[in-house]
Formats: sequence, structure tokens, C-alpha cells
Amino acid sequence: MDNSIVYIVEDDQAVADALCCLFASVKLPCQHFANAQCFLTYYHSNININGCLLLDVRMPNISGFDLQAQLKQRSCQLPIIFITGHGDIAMAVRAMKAGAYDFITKPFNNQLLLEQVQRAINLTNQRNVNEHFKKNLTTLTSREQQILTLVISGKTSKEIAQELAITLSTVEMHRSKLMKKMQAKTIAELLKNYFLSKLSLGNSI
Amino acid sequence: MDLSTFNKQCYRTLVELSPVGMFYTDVQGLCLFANKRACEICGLNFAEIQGEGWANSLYPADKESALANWHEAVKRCLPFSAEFRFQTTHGKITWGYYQGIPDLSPSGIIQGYTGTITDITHKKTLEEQHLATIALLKATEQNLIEAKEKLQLGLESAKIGVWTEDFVNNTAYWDQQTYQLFGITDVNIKPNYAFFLSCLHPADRAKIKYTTGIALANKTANFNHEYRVIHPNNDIRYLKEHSKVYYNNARKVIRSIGVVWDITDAKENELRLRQNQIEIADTARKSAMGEIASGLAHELNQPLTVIATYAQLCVSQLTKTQPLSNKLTEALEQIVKQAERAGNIIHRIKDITKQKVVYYEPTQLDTLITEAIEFLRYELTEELPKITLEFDQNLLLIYVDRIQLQQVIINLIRNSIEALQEINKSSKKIHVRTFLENNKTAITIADNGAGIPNDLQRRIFEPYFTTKKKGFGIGLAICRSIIESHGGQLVLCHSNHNKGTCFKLTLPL
Repeated sequence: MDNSIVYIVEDDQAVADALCCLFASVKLPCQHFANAQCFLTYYHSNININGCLLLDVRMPNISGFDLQAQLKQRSCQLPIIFITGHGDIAMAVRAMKAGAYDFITKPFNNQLLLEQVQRAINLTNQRNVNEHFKKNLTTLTSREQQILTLVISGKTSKEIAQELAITLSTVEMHRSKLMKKMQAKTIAELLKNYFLSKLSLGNSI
Repeated sequence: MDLSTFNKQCYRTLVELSPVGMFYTDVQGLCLFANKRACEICGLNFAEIQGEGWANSLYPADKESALANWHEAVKRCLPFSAEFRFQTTHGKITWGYYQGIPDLSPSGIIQGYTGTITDITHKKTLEEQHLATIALLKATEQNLIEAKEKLQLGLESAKIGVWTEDFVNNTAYWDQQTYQLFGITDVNIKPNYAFFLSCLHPADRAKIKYTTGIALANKTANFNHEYRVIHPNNDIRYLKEHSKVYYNNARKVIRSIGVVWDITDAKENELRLRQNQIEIADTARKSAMGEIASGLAHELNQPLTVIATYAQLCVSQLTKTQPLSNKLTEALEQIVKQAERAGNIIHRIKDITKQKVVYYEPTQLDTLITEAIEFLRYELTEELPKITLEFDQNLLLIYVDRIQLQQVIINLIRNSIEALQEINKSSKKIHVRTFLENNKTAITIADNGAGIPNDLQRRIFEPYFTTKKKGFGIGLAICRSIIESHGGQLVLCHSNHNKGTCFKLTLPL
């Protein structure tokens, strides 16, 4: 999605500058916060932000771990990648257990960091698509839902018309309506979104 | 003058001059005559003494028995002798020796009594003095016996041995306890200085010989020694000795007396404490090293990260515009490589300092705390403030690294002690409490000291933050990392200006 931003919370200005430079080189927009409190204030008025959060572990006042816990309390979905100069296994385990996306030690490999950031962003995007898909589902009428289930199970319009004892043109009309509602251009896209949503959101679909 | 006249005249004079009182009575024992001396002893005049008048001057306590005995003797016509006291009207008391013999006619009929009264006051006084002296001697002897018994009991129960040494004749006396303390079973051995030295642990002989020599050369009157002896079962015992040395007028040593007792238990306790102290100091040093290294690693890693990131960026930019590898790219790649290498070195140093041996064991919580306080008492020269303890008896065992946890408690109590030194209060207190809280073991350490200023409270756990003149500011940071590595938490409960500070640490059960 276009509105993905890499949010960097890092107290060392030089490190932050280098990171921003790195993301600019791959045209990834980023935003820097000098401490956890600044980010929390920003997040408070921008709850629906997308992208990924790069967090330093050791910072004055509110540490990276503290910020992670506070964001979790606020049900923030932003994936978190920790970057730290003094990471050990215990610390990494702690971060991952608390739901971090990754834990990278400084100095880092640019390529590796960019890859992980990209993956994290894709993950959010997919999650957003899933949420969207689920929301669109609720707008369907019961007939449209019925037809969607049959489409997914691989039936052709003709077979559906026969099964539901309605005319083919009625089926076609419902199909085009539900495709619009589900914001899918092709059957393939519809199927892809359906199965990915089912994977991450479970049987609630 | 014929002889009989002379005799009569002479007798009369002699009777009047005699230093002995004389008297004559009738058959009933009533006085008919008494000479001047007898009157003096009784303190009566001639007229007063007549009949039984003399008895009036008897000392009240003696009167009854004296008269009864006299009447009894007269009744039976027996000779009579007795000692009793007279008291004159002026109150003067005189001891008299009284004797009377029945005066018989040639036919054996009693005609009266003739007798004497002698002043024996002087003799009696001497006798009384003598008796008093004897009584005093007896009492003194009894006191001596009791004192000796007390001393003996004291020596026995304290297991103190007593010895004396005669430097002139090179002999010594050891009491039974001394033999036992030195592990000598054969009490027939006659000890002397050489024998004493042979009893000592070989490593202590030279030292004792040397210090004794110095003490004697300096004419020291009192001195103390500590040494080891080896018992027959190869047990090594620590003994302490206190001795007094006596010198003659020529300042030459003549004799000494001393006491000796076993201090092995105290020594072992001291050694244990010192060992504990070494361990704690060692752990503290290692944790400080770890904390410093970790801080350094963080500080150095930041610029290193910046260098590596920019270098990598340059490499990728260069390869985009000039795909063919050139010298510049190579140089930049080297920068990246070396930055990575430096990063690895830093991580490795940190790993090494973090390799502390952590030894978790079930530990008695109250013992752990009292030992930590004992350690502080041992280590600090100044007197500790009053430390009160409140232990939850249900919290018996916790599973921790004993030394590390003691380090935390020592650190916190030491902070409290320092906070108390800053203030002028009469009742300085530290309260240590253990209790159960939300299924966790909790320990609070509270003082009524200076308190931490509000604006600094949130910074106290930061490494290198300190308000002390001496100190690195890593104490509380170390405490927190130790407690966190135990899966627990260390927090500042409250701190108010001049009211005191309270820290709480919680540990999983």
C-alpha cells in the first residue's frame, strides 16, 4: 500500500540519519522520533498508521521493550523490528515472545535490514487486505454469499444457476455485484484474498 | 618485836598491799572480810561488800550462774573456782578469777571460806583478741576457698588453661586444661619453653619465637599471641594466649603467667565471612565489568553502525552507476568488512564479561539476608544504624544465586546507610521485610534517610547515573539486571525528602 512508512525510534541522531538515508535510497518513506514518548504522542493522534517500527532497545526513560509493551496495550498492529547494539539471546527471546517481528544487532547488514523491513511492511499490507476483505464480506446479501461460496467451491455460473434454480443471467448479475463489493477484478484475485484471509483470520469467515 | 607479832603485823600489811583480792566468809558463804584489792575489783567499799553485797557488782549476765555455782559449792563444802565479770557503778567491766577453799577446823568442821579474786581482764582481752583473729583467719580461708572455686569454675566452663613459666630455672607449670588444649595426653611430661614451641604448628613456630623475643626485649608486661597446634588426631586448632611477664630490678625476665583458650570456632567463622566477602567482591567486580563493557559496546556500536551503513550505501550506489568494480568500491567494501569485524569484537568482549558463573540453589531467605547484614557489619568500620528485620516465616526457600542476591541486598542496604549519613536524626532506622505478594517473594528495604530528589527518581536505574562523589553509578543498574536475570523486578516504592526511601524487589516463588 502506498501509505506505508518506516517509523524509526532512535535516540542517536547519527544512527537515525544513516537509517533515513538507507531507506531513501530504496524510496521507502521514513519518519524519525528521538524517543519513545515522541512516538507515543504521534501514535495517539494517528492510530491507523501503516508500515513498520524500527526500535532501539536501550533508550533513556522509556526503553524499547517498554514502548513495545505500551503499544501492545493500545492494540497497535505495527510490526516491530528491534535494532540493538547489545543484544543477547535472552533479550532476543524476550522481544520475540512479546511479539516482535525481528531482532537485529548493530552494526547491521543494509540488505538484510531492508529485506526484513520490506517483509514486515508486506505483512501489514496483507493484514490490511485481509481486514478489508472481511469487512467487504459483511456487505454481501445472503444470496450473494450463497453464490460466493459456490464460486469458491469451483462451480461455473451455469452449474450455480441449475443448483439454485434461477436463471443464468440472474447468477451473472449477482456475480458482477459481489465482485464489485469484494473489490476483486478477477476470480483469481478473489480466490487469493479469500484463502489468505482464511489463513490469517481463521474460520471467522 | 617477837616473831608472832611480826607475823600478824606482816600479814595484815601484806593482805592490804597484795595485788590479789582476798576475802573471808562465814559458813553460809557471807563475806566477813575483803581486802582493799578485792574491794577495788568489785568496785565497792568495805561496807558494801559485806554479806552478799559483793554479788551486787556482778555483771548482770553472769550474776545468776555465778551465785548459783557459789551456793552449790558452799552447800557441799567444796572448793570453788570461777571466772566472771564485775561491773562497777561507773560501768567499768572487770574480769575476775575467783577461787575459795573451805576453811576446816582440825576436827574437820567447816568454819568458812577463804579465797582470792584476781583481775584477769588483760588476759581475757588477749584471749578475745586471739579468738577474733582466729575467726578472721577462718573467714579469710573460707573466702579464699570460695574465690578459688569460682576461678576454677570459670576456667573450666570457659575451657581456659592456665600456665606459669619460670625463666630462671627453665621450668613451667601447665594445668590440666592447658595439656588438653595443646592435645597432650601424657600429663607426666614436664613442660618448658622448648616443649611449648614443639607443640605449635610448624608454620607458626618462628613467628611466635620472634614476637616473644621482641616483647621480652621491649620489657613488655602484657602480650597476646595467636597460634595453631596440631592435635594427635591431626586436628588443627587455633589457640589464643594472654600472658603477663614479670621482670626483676635488673630488668631481666624472671617469670610469666598466662591463660590460653581455643578460638577455632571464631577463626573459622571469620574465615567463612572473609571467603563470603571475597566472593561477593568478586561478583561485584565482574558485574561492574559486565555493565561497563555493555555500556561501552552500546556507545561504540552507534558510530560503528553509522559508518557501516553509509559505507554499504556508497557501495550499492557506486555499483549502480559504475557496474565495473574499481578501487573505490574495493576500499568501501573494506570499510564495511572492518566495521563488521569491529562489531563482532565488541560483541565478543561483552559475551566474555557476561560469562559469570551463575549458581542457582535453594536458599534460605532469612539466612541470606542476615548474612548480608553480617557482611556489612564486618566490612564497614563505622557503626551500622539500627536494622530491624521482619521475616515472613512461610517464605522458607527461594531458588536464587545466593551470592548475586546478597550483592543486591548489600548494595541496597549500603545505599540506605549512605542516605542516613547525610541527615541529622537521632533515630536512624533501616527496615528489611520479606512477604508474599501476588504469588511472588517480595523483599522491601526501607530507611528514614535523606530520600531521593523527585527529579532524579526516574533516572536512578540508568547506568552511569550517580549522585555520589565516589561511585560509577552502576550499583542500582547491576542490582536491576541481577534481579531481572532471576526473572524478578526491582522498583523504587517511594522516596520522600527527609522521610526516607523504600526499594522493593520481587522474585518468582
